[in-house]
Amino acid sequence: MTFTLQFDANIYSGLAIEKACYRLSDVLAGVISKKDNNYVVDITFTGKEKSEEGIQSTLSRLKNEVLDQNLREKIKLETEPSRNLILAYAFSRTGLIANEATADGANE
Amino acid sequence: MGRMSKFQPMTFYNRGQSNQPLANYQLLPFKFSELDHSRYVMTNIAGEYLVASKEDVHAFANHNLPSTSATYINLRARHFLTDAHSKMAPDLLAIKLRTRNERLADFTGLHIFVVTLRCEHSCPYCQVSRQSEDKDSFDMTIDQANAALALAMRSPSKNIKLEFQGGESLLNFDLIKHIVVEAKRFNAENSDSQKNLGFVIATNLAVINDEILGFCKEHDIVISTSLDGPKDLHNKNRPRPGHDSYQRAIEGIKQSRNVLGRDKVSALMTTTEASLNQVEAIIDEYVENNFNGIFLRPLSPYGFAIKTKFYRAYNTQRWLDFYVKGLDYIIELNRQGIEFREHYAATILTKMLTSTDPGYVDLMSPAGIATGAIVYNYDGAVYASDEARMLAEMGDKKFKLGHVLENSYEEIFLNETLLEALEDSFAQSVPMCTDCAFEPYCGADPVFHWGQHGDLVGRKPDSEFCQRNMSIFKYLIDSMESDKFVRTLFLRWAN
Repeated sequence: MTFTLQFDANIYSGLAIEKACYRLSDVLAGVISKKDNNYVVDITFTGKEKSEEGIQSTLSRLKNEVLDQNLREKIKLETEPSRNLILAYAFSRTGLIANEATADGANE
Repeated sequence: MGRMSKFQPMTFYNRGQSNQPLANYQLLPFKFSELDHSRYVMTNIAGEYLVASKEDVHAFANHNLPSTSATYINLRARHFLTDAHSKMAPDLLAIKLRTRNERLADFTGLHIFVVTLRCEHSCPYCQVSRQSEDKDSFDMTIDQANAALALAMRSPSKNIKLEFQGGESLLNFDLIKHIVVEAKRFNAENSDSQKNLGFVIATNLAVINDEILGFCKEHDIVISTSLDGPKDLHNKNRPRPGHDSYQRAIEGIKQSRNVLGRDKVSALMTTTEASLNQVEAIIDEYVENNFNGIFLRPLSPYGFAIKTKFYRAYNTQRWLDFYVKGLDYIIELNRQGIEFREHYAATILTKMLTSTDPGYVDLMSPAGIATGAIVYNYDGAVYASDEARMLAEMGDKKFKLGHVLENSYEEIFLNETLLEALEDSFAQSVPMCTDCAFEPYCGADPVFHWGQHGDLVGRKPDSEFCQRNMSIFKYLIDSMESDKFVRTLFLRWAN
């Protein structure tokens, strides 16, 4: 049994849809393509649950998962500078970063 | 001249309300995962967590969360955002992150010596042991032990723990004595690179005696033994001639405590299908024998356990039911004033509630194989972990890193398979783990996934490791959120 979902490419990222399909890969297989300004996902159900109710519930999970993944993408993008700053500062004096250890003589 | 006030005006607290044209807070890096249908667990870059409603998390990420809301105040207190009042948040996060990763630079702290594979027990789930008198084939030699010790002492870690395992390790007690004395001699002769040495003998205690305990006392060696639960269960799990494994274990525990002290003797249990419906009785056994906690372990999917279908006899969900029932029972004991803890939960809680990483090999990323613990097998082969040598006993030597008599420290620790496993399984780069709020508490475990899926990473939707740990993380957080007594208790376990 195959179902198709469409996601507006102006709103959703292809990566978010890919990640959502991966997360549910124990119960479905998704093939993602792009048509005009939409991502099209052809879904085959591979899990044990094949009832109409079960399939609709899985489709809802997938839609919510795409929303979550899309939000994660936004957060990741927005917090990239501070993430890099924190990581660089955290390890700045550990001697684990070869160039720095040599540059300030900390590890010599 | 205006009057000074200790308090800010109302407008100050209203900043960030949704009627303001611009959001005046910046997000700090965080991840979120579903806790239940209405709530997310959020974790920041240092692994601190917060539970919030799905609506609040979406509003927060979209810069629409009012600064007066309780969620906003909590998010600020736990470094999920910066605003005019929390400029120090990135610096504090960096310090916590550095503390959490401190252990990485120490490298290998636990060195496991399999001094013999021989054992007088014939446990059906045992991964490795042999009922054989053939010392030549199944005992580590002195040359191999010396070479392994030299490798152990090369570790940059200041704290080195040498653990002796088997088979039944005490069947080769002479070699244990040799290694302990040699390690101490090495330390005395190398004052520049002295280590804080610790010694552990893993033993079923069936052959313990006063001479052995006298040596343990003299050299501050601790005992780690096996206790599977009440007599019937223990003896069923651990057959030996005379059917007296339980009696010997209990007497051995008493005898060892009399000589070494109560805190020098710990016990581990193995879960089999027969254990699943008697978790309370297993815990009671530990309480009655004056242990301060128990480690409710899942059965390893290796060795004879798989061959004898012991492993497949129960699935992850059945084990989780067993675990949760046990944890609930332990919490109840504490409510009644009996101080007792579950060690796996305590390890995870330390990761959740403090900036310290307890260094538990299965819950490390980068993976703890070889970097946290390493195994020198009875035949001189070096394996990346205890599970790796069990896998080898099943015929898969994927994680054999070399041989103590043939390979140098550099060749062993820069082994291609090891580096590939560490790099590929790095949880922050693994599909699903990279976005998972529980990633700071979890680990990579490439050996488990290789054994189960033939892949260093495994597909997480199908991973029992993922299913088991995610369920435990959610259970622990949910329990703390819904019960103040549990939160106080878990804080105690974490510290």
